[in-house]
Amino acid sequence: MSYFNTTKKGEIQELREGIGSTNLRTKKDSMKRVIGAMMAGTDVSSLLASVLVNMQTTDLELKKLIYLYLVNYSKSEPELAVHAVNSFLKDANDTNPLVRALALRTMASIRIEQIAEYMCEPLHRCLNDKDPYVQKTAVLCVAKMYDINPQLVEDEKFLDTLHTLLSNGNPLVVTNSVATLAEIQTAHPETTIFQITPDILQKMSAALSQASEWGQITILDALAAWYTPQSPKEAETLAERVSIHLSHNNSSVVLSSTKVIIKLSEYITDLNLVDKLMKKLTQPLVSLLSSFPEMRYIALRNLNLIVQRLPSLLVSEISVFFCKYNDPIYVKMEKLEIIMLLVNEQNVPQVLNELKEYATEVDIDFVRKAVSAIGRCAILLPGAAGLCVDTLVHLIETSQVNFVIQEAIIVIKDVFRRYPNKYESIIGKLFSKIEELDEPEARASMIWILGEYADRIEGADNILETYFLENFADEPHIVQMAILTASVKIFLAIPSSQPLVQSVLKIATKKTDNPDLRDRGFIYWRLLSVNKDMAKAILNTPKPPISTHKDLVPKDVLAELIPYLGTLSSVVHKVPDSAAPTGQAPKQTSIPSGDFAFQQEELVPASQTQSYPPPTSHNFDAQANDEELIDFGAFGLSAYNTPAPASSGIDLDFLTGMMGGTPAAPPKIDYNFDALPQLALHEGVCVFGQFGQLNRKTTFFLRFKNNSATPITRTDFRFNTNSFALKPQSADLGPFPIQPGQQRDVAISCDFDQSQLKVTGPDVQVGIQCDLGMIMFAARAKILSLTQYNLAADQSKPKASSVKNRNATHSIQNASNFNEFVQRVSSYGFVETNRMVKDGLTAVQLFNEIPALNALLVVELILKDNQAQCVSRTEPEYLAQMLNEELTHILV
Amino acid sequence: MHPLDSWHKEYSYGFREMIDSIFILSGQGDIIIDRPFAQTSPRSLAEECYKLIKENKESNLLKPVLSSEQEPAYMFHYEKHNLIYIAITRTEGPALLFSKFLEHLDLVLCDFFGEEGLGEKVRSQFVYLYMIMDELIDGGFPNITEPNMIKELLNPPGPSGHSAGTVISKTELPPTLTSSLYWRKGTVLYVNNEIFIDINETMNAIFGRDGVIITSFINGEVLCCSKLSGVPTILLNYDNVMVMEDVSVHPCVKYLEWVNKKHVMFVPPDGNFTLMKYRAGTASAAVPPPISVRPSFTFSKGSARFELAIAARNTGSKAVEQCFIDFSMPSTSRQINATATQGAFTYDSNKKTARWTVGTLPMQGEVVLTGNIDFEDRDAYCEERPIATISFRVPMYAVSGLKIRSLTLSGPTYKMFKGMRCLTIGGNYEVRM
Repeated sequence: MSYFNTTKKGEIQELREGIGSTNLRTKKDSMKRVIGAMMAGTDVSSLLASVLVNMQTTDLELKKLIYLYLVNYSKSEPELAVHAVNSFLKDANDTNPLVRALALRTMASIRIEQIAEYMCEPLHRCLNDKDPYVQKTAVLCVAKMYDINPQLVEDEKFLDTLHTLLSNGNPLVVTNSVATLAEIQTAHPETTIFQITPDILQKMSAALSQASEWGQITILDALAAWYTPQSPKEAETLAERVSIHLSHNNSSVVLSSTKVIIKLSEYITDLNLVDKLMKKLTQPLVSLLSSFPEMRYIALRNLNLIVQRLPSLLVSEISVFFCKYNDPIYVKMEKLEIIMLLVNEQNVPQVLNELKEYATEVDIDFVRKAVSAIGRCAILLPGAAGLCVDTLVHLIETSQVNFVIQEAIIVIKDVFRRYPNKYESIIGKLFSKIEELDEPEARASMIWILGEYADRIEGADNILETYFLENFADEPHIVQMAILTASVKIFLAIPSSQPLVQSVLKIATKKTDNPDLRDRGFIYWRLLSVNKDMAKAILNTPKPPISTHKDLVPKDVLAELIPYLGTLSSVVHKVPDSAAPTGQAPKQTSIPSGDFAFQQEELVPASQTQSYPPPTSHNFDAQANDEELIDFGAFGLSAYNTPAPASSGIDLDFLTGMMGGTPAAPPKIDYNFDALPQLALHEGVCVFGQFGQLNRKTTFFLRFKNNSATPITRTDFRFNTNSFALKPQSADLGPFPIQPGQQRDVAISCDFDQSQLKVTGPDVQVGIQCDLGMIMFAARAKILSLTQYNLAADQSKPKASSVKNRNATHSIQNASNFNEFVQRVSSYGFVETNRMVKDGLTAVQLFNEIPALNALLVVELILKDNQAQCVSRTEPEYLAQMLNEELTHILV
Repeated sequence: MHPLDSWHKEYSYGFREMIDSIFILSGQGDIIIDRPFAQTSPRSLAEECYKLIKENKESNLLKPVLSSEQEPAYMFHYEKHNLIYIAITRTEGPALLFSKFLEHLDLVLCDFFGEEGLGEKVRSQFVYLYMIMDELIDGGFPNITEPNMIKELLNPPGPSGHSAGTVISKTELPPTLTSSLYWRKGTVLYVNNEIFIDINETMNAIFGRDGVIITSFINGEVLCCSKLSGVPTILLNYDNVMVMEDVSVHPCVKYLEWVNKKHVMFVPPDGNFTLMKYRAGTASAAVPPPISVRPSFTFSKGSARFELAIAARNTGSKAVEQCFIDFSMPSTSRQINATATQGAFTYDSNKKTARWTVGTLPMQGEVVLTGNIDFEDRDAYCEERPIATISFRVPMYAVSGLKIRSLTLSGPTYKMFKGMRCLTIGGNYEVRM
């Protein structure tokens, strides 16, 4: 039987009779046909009166059908629905909870104000119904009502009832209350309806373990959005609690839990615990990939963000991201992106094999992306660059596929820029394919290589003339620009090619309508005619290093996206824009997708866009008509910066010479940083450091050496809780960026903070969060760097004698300069509290204290029979051994 | 301006876990139901979505989240059982939840109507569909989602398609709704009390051209069919429990017992359910593959030779059955001839796919397929290589080594019949030739 075939006009009458029938079965069947017709788009509104007559039926199925009909038509003709109000009110009082709930739900979905007013009374009753089924339905009606008439909801104090229901015994009632509060809060960000107080947190986390999977998501998402831990302890407890849900069958629960844990981890000060929590995330995140393809895509989009934020999490699992041949193309693309985020020196051979495999696939976009990824590996990982270049050359030599070759040449140009003068032996192999290049970008790349290595390529001028000059006028803009620059470079390398450059300059300045090309031509022309050496200096200045952003999503956007993990924003990688009343200008948050962002970003290096120096700082001698040139330069710069065409990497030669622009160096610190021990090596970042004193203040001396390929744009420097209550004053190693190859020496002065105190041992665990993830290491703290320098001798004496602990002793080999030992200890601020000379025995007692730790330090130096001994006694006791060890070093 | 641009401005902080509308379409694109929650969505959205699905049916290119051209809305779609499920949302919300919910919706419908001919049943009984949807999702939020509970709220139709009666007589709700064991029906009574446990493992692997594994992992599922009276508590112990990595469990499992003691204690739902899911044999503890492969592939001008030898290994002396190998051949292949030491080889020149049906693998020694590919262009070298996907089953064997040690009942006093099985099947068992 089908209910969909009742579209003929004459049947309306038949249906009306059917509904009016006394036979329940006929009534129901007719009603089903009415709904069927409604679904099919037929107008059956004329039946309203006949339908309303039946509202009082006791048959639940018929009732549901009638309600369905009403909901549908009340949207288009709400005033008709008002006729049914009395029936609604009656049903909302029915003995059957299903009927009560149905009536209320239906009323709430009729969104007109009149109904809302009628609803108040039954809503109050149903919110406090004895049956949770009715309650959970009623709770959701509050949100709908708030939409229609917020004032009414406030007046009737429904929100207070919702807050009370958060401690209801039924998990569904609780989660629906959370959902409703969250919903209202979101729709009305100006209000403070939903505030997660410790009390509410308690209720939510109690409901978390009992709720259904969907309810768990609601609670977790609400926590991620609105909850801010009040203390590290609170964050720890909740994170532990949430981590149980990481092993849920429902991947959406897993992702929501992950989101909450990542957020909480920022509030946890115990770095070991953070590390442990993060490790717990790995396996569940990998398991997201076993879901069906539709979800896999969404999961991958989210993993992409997580990996950018926490690369170390999944690096050992890189092989799960290898593509299967029958993965949908959008899944393959996502996997490739993630592989590129995870690649490192260890796994690069494995990754290259995969990429080579992908380069033989059918889909053009995917193949191109794979080829370009090989080049990206080379740029990211200096250690593997040779291997990557070999792979690219192999592809160029063996591939029969034209676009593979072209893409390979485009990335090789970037590799050349990253490693100047290193792989030029392969140039010959590239030129064997010169005739096959027909894409503008590939041609421009080839021309750039030609110009850059003109002095090492035999007959570079002839090659340029033969292959590229013939159709100069028809070439795309980027190729023309490349030819112009290359011809000048070739001329500077091979002076005999003057006719070539002259003809190019002539075409560029006289026969073209393109102002960019013409102006560039004029500049070169003038430059060459005024001073060839200067031209050389400008064109051959070292180019700014090609930056290899591992991050596809800009840092600030990434930070904003983390709370949105698992949501739509995370899938489209856009932050939902703030509609906050502050009237901020919309953020530019769209992210280049589909292609690796580095290709675009490298083209305008940071030094150009961010710190364009004033004209006076040009680093070449200004001569007679340089004024004009400089203006030109400035003009040209802005012109090239705006659209940042894909080719401008090639244009850089022109500009880089004119730019100064390294970030200002930090103030010089009087300390021998070269002597610092190495503490950590992480993704190419080398950290040296130790504790010491600077201006009598405890200081952590740090050398941060960036040997990776990524510029460091942010750092966060933290100590774990430690035995000395130390806390770094500043968390910043700026100014940024710290470019690849640069190092930064900083003296981080430390404060005492009692909340940091936890007796763990002599080591202070240090964490540096930077672009490359978390660098963790331990540094030995020094008691002698914590001491006081202005102690009064008279007050010290009683304190010193109060220290009764067992002690640590060591003997000193060479006792001849005993007085110097006393001097050395005193130089750390110790005051002499006692001295005893008797029968060839000399004993000196020295004292110092560390108020922040309530620590008292007593050192006794004893000389007897030319044998010297050093005794340390401390309060608290655990410091004695450490103090003694440190003294061993200074008393030799 | 794309409609979604304004969307991103409009919805600011936080998000609403809301589905605006759900459409269920027949495979032919007719709208069976249109269920608005927060805001009505025009049917044209569903039509737009269907159009996109239809256009991309062959190409496998359509992303699971689509943005509409007509208005600022996102469309999630999921296709199964000749039905197309579409969720529309205009608000920021948990994408994974929406996607998962559509999957769950299909699951519930299967449970309610029976999987066979679901498309047709749903169509003819669409009134039930409305009632199910009413319970399943309220105001755009997933609500009562346990299949058992829905069945109790709405008596499913009998086999004839007619309702067995309506729930109107009830004045009380099923007690399970408020019970802390919400997944279990209130009163269950069987004459024969039985429980069946299946360990099903899917072996996934990618082999390189040299026949060496590049990546592999096992997806395991412990399925349970419980037909037990009363409220039984089951205790399940495994041998080799350490092979299970990343375990996810059904809500009925006492999680802390599992974490601390590595045994599974649970009060089962009635009927079929997935007790646990796990992965095994990943990078850290790789499992030797049950079938070893030895591919070879050589090009010459205008043609290529290929050879694939496979052999059963490490299957605990259990036979590898129903083995067949699907090849995805280079798109420029013209003609392919091949001979096998066992089984038959067929080639479909339209789809450029081939299948080598082997059957049961011999316990000793390998079976070999050798063949020749002629390319359309007789002078060219071909770059593309074939990919082989091996399908197989090894009954009574779990490749990870997982075994059930014991299964005991506590609570009720009746005797319980226990059935246990294992099965390993080839999932994505892919050989790059």
